[in-house]
Amino acid sequence: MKYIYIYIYCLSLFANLASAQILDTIILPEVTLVENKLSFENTGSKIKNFNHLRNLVFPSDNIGDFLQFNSSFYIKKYGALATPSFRGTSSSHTLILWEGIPLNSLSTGVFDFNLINSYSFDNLSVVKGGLSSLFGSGSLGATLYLKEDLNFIKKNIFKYSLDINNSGLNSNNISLNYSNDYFASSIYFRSTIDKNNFLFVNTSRPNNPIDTNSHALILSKEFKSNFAYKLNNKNFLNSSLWISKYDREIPVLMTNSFSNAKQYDDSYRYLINYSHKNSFIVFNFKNSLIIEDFVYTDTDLYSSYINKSFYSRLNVYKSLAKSTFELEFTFNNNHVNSSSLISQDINENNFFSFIKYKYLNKNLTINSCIRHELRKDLKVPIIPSLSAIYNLSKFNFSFLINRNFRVPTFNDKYWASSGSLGNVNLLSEESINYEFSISRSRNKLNYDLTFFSQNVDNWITWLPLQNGIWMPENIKNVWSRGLELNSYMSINKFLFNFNYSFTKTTNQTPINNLDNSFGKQLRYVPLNKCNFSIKYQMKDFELIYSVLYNGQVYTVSDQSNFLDDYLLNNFLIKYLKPKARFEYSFKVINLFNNSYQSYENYPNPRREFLLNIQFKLTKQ
Amino acid sequence: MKNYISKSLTLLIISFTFFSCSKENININNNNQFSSGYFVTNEGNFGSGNGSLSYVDENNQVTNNVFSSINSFPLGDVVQSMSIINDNAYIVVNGSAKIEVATIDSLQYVTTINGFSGPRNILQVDVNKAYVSDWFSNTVQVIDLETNEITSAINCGQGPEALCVNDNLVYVCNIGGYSVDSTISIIDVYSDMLVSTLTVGDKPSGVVADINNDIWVLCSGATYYDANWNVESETQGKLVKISNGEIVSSFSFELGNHPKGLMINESKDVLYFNNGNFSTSIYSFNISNTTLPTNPIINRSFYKTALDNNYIYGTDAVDYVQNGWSYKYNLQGNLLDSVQVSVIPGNYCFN
Repeated sequence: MKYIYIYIYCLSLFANLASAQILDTIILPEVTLVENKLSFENTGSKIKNFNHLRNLVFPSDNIGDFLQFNSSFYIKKYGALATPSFRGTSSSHTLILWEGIPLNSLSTGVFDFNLINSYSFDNLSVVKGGLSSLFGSGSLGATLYLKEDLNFIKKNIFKYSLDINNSGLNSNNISLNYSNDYFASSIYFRSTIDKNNFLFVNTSRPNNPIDTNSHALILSKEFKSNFAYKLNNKNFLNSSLWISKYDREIPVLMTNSFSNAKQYDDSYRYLINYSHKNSFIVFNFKNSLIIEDFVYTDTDLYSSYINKSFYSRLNVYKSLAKSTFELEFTFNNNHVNSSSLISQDINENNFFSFIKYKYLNKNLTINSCIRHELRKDLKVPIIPSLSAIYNLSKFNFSFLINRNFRVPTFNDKYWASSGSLGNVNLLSEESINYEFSISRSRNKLNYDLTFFSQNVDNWITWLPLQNGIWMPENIKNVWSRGLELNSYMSINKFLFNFNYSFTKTTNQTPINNLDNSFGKQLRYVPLNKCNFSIKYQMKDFELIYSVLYNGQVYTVSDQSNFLDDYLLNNFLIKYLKPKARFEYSFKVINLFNNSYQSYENYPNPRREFLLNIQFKLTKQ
Repeated sequence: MKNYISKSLTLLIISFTFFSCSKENININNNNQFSSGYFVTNEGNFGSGNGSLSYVDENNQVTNNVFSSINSFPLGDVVQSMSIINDNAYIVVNGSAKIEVATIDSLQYVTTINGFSGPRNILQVDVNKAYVSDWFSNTVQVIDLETNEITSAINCGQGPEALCVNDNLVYVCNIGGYSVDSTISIIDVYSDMLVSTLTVGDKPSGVVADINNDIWVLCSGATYYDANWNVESETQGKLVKISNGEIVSSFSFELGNHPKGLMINESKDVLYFNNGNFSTSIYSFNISNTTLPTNPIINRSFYKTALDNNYIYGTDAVDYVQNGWSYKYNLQGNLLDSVQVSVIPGNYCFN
């Protein structure tokens, strides 16, 4: 019967709405869900959880916009892309996981932050620093863990939300949530037209005129459905389907006068998970299929790939009085079909496993984990991690040492196009990471201070050979170290939030005696970054003032050129009268009309105004 | 609680003031001060718009970013080459698909010529006419030097690159872009018509005319790989001599070498090129020679090379994301000078 549920649900809901009794939003108690507690908690890595993400963001905010104001991520925006850097690492060193499944492109290793809308998720966790022993390849700088939130509490919610701005944005969102004692579901649909016709000061033209950003249209559609079934008190089944489609014009570099480039990113992601819990053991059996369908076109250029990755994963969890064991096996099949590679179809099978042991007593938690991977044509070393967390009155001390890695991408290995060639002999990038942190939480003030030092070896760099052909090699050794301070404080109706990071990331291997980059800060890694926000809560209103500071970044490896530091100020006012069906938010982005660049010669919007209207019906 | 607030604020303020240096501007006010030295075009990184122009004066003093300092805007994406024509500098910006025109005495901005797809080189062919090789349109674009506008386009092979004019004929190397072509197109300067197409060898990269009005074309040869990254097949590099529109002789390089950077001396009787072996060293070849040279005169590899007034110049781009170097040699291969220029120094322009 249940398989026809979606059909009936959609039909009946609209019929119900007319006579629905409108209830106030209430904060629902958290109920343990189908999966066990996220296994990366208490591993010694610092984690920032953003729960109920939809309440924190605008529907049109992509994840990069959100993170640069709320974390230490440096977001580079160029063309249609937005890529992250955390703790001085490159954009392929931030791993994006959806319910534990990697979303980073098999071709590039990167996930474009403009392709995830932060509103399409309930929960986001930022795991700072590498945690490859648990998450696998690509977790060197940070890991973003996206999580759906379903619970078996009776509710019935319909939400419609509209975002518009003065640069040609129109974003429509519909979400439906229905759940009862044995069944939970959420369905989400978004359709966005963003012309991106913002104004900017063009510093690349004579007399620096104010230009309009052109050839920047983004058409995107997203559909997501999550279902969870409680078969009985011990057995659960859940499945998710997430489809997104982005058709983007690639805006022109400031120095150029036109662009014909377009990019099409279609993704299909599916997962099904079976959980069993009893007093002796917990296990999850998860199967997932991720498909990336990518096309890039330009004058005389057509590049495309269809990547498929399949994961079948068994996770077993056993809890004893003072210790827990966790064991995970994953089978992974990757298949890439691309005309730009040395052969059209490339297929690989990989096996990953880890074992984790946690010891807990009153004041001390010790965590150890070891990972082993069997990969096609590539030897991956054993990946261990060890951490200790000690509580002393209100202070928390934690120490972590681990090894992290990233395997070369399909492009790194097999590319053969446009004067460049891949290198099948590449090794994995490997790092050793140390972290120490102190945190303190009291009722009103919470802070944590983390010191880190990570040395990444075999860093993959593309360089031209003598014959002019570009090829990647394991050349660089990069040392990243610094500190992060995160704090929040509440006083009466005010909530203060402050994040600061100092990141010194240097190249430790000169390629020859002319190389002036030795010991110098990597390109596009700010030494200083911070953000600060004040939230003021009134009866019907909420005011948020937020500030972002990005320190200067070097655009070249010898520090001979740089982009200026910049400050961005945003102001938000939200009208959310209790029991009202409508909610209004108004946001001013870049309040002081600053002109800034996060990547050389790519424009960013001057002041923008964003309006959101939300309509909600709730029945319980 | 106050304490915490003040601590937070202090940190905030420190972080704002930590690094607040500003970019220096170079002031160049004197006229005619670019007459005695030479220019280096720095490609910059593709997609970053950081291409630039360096000027090296007679005392070997370098001024980087000379165009952007004077005109307060950057040249653009991938500054490919520059030519001085009728007292103007024509700076070809490949990635930005444009040519910036500036006065040669003070480098003051004059105008921008748009309408290209991927311009590579500009060559004056008549008093008021220049040709521009344009990669993606597979044409030579004709420029009216009075109006600085494109007037017409002449179809040629794939990826037109190097140009050379001799006896009212223009020889265009069709290098094939990222693919392979093996022809040169010969164009009549008066009619702007294609006269003939000659098949010379795979990937013709350079063309010069010698003292006898013979044309020399250097073909780099192509490489094809199989699925395991082994070289599946290669074609030989070639040095081809053309006389009266026909190939009269051809010298083949060892299989596996991919020669590039064809140059000729002032008296137009000795050719210079790198023979494309692993170290890409520079060799000389007298036009009357009957075999290819075996001993290099400069045993070092360069990104790009040029020859002027009997000096050979070569660039080194280091890691391609920092300021590169330019080296100056005499024709005997002795290193005379080196100067640091900017990101990916590619080509030279001599007064």
